[in-house]
Amino acid sequence: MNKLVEVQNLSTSYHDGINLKKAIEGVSFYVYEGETLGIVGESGSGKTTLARTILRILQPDYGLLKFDGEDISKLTGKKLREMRKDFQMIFQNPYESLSPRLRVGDILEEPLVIQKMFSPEERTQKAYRMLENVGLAKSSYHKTIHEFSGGQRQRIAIARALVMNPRLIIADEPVSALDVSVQAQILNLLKDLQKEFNLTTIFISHDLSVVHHMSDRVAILNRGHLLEIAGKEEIYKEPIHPYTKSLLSSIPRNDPAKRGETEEKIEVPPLSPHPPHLIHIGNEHYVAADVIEIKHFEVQK
Amino acid sequence: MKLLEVQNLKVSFRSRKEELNAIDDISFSINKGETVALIGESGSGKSVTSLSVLGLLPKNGRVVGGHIFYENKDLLRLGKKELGKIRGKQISMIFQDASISLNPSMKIGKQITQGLAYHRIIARKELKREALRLLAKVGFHKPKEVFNQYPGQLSGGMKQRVLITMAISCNPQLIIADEPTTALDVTTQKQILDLMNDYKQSTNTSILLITHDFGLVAEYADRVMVMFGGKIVEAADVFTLFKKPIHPYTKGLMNSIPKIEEPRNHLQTIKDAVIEETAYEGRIFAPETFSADEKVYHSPSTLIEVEPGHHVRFFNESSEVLIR
Ligand SMILES: Nc1ncnc2c1ncn2[C@@H]1O[C@H](COP(=O)(O)OP(=O)(O)OP(=O)(O)O)[C@@H](O)[C@H]1O
Ligand SMILES: Nc1ncnc2c1ncn2[C@@H]1O[C@H](COP(=O)(O)OP(=O)(O)OP(=O)(O)O)[C@@H](O)[C@H]1O
Ligand SMILES: [Mg+2]
Ligand SMILES: [Mg+2]
Repeated sequence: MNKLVEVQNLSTSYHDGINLKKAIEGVSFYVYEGETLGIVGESGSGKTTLARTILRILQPDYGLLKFDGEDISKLTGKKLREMRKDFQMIFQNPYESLSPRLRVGDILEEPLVIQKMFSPEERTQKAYRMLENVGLAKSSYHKTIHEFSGGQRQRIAIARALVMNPRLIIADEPVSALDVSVQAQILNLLKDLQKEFNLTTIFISHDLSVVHHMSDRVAILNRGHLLEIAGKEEIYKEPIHPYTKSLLSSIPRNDPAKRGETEEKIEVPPLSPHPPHLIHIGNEHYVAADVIEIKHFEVQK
Repeated sequence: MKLLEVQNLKVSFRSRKEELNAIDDISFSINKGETVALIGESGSGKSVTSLSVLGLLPKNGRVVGGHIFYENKDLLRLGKKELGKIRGKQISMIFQDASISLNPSMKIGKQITQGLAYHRIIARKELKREALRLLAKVGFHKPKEVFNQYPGQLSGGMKQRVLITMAISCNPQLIIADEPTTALDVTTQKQILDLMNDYKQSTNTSILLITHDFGLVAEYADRVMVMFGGKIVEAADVFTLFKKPIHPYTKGLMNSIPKIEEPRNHLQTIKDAVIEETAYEGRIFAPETFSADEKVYHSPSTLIEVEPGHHVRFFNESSEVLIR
């Protein structure tokens, strides 16, 4: 299988004039073409930073960032712009990411205009086709964003992301702002479109049930470090890192009768401030080395 | 003992020349030390209900009927000044949108200590220490760092935790939490809700928890009210509701969440769920619950107690149904 995205030792920090804050450090993983990689981590763990670095909105401090085999971490100017055609992002808050003044039609065509793709007629046609793809009425073309509900706005955001025929979609908490019934519709829509357009997706969420529903493999991020990554069934059923275990044990159980049952409390040992080495324990399951026991080392050798 | 009692509340909004009924005759109460969850999809009227309690409805909204008793005082009939005293000190609110509740140009520490100074008798010297203690309590690993940061430097989840810090800082009797953890990851969510829960138990505070997440309801609520279209369509204690949900809308909500133990390719949507069912023991469910998209207009429906403490909304057969 082709690795569409590959990052190695990726690190990004923020500077506020005085302080330097490392937001992600030493992160390595890959995403196969056509699959969905879920990224889970607590608030502030660096999920959005990672997404913005992959899209080259943020410049990594160091590390390798490969797209379809080519290192894009240092691309600039025209080359960078061209490569961006292949990437699209869907944000958590469609209220902030879509321009309130433009008509939906213009919102959908804007990326094509920026990239100077197609003739005006073709662009309009494409916009209409996208509206249909995401289940919105043709008449939406002439409306502005404030005439739509949250779920409909997220549909528009998805349409805008797909209009460029991207190869990679990064969805950063795309359903966190929606209520469960709309969430179900949007997740169903995303799954259908992934299949139809053979999309590769990085799906970021703090909702472990949603990530389980959407992903093929899942990566766990904690304070800027990647701690564990594996196929979804394996990581949900047999997590190895204590942090992953504790994360999974906090999933609400959806049953008030189980409330009294105290779960076995999982102690997470203090984690190293330095980026951990990931050890491959087989079956594409990688775990931060500093916490796994010897027996797991043996699996690999 | 009842701390808050809402009776036949009706709220409407004026937009363009239309009058829109956002809350249509709802009644409920919250006892001291109780957590009541208000659950329902977007636009069902959860936030408007809570804003009415605090007297914070937007300008074009007004209460057109009913009472809201807090410790036997009708909040709807109190003057601005008296209401102001209750709000923030006895009833505190955690708003849905963290970014509008924080001042972007003021450091976090200042925002918290200001609130502390306003509502509590506390020595000036102690303010900072207390703020740091509260920040640590809601799970910040480095409270000192956050104390000196501006909201823009924090991630969404961190901002939400700051709001929670501010809400519990004045030792309120009732906390209205409007989707307090929607933006948070599960560990932080659990941490925060456990914290609110412990706080509630040690101080006998009441909580009105507004959410669309049944997982949280299962874990933290004592009683649950399911809202749809400005009405309560089902209400029961949490155990009953999970064991025996009756209203198709309640079931639809429960089934639209992905479940790890029962994976399925496509999630059920509310519409799929409600269309299947129309009746329960010979009684027809109120038609408004099917009308989210269809243009069905209808006349009154009623809440019926199907078993002790378990209320479900059915169609009132003496009224006419108009389908346009
Ligand atoms: N513009 C910024 N300036 C300074 N620090 C920042 C900035 N944006 C993010 N950070 C910091 O970088 C770290 C990672 O933030 P990031 O937004 O990537 O987290 P996240 O995992 O997306 O969190 P959330 O789930 O809350 O969205 C946090 O410690 C945050 O405070
Ligand atoms: N300022 C306003 N002007 C006009 N209508 C309003 C206003 N605020 C709310 N409404 C209407 O009142 C109804 C209830 O809204 P409310 O905000 O209470 O929903 P909610 O249940 O909190 O939804 P969400 O889960 O999206 O927060 C909606 O139909 C909404 O359109
Ligand atoms: Mg983020
Ligand atoms: Mg609301």
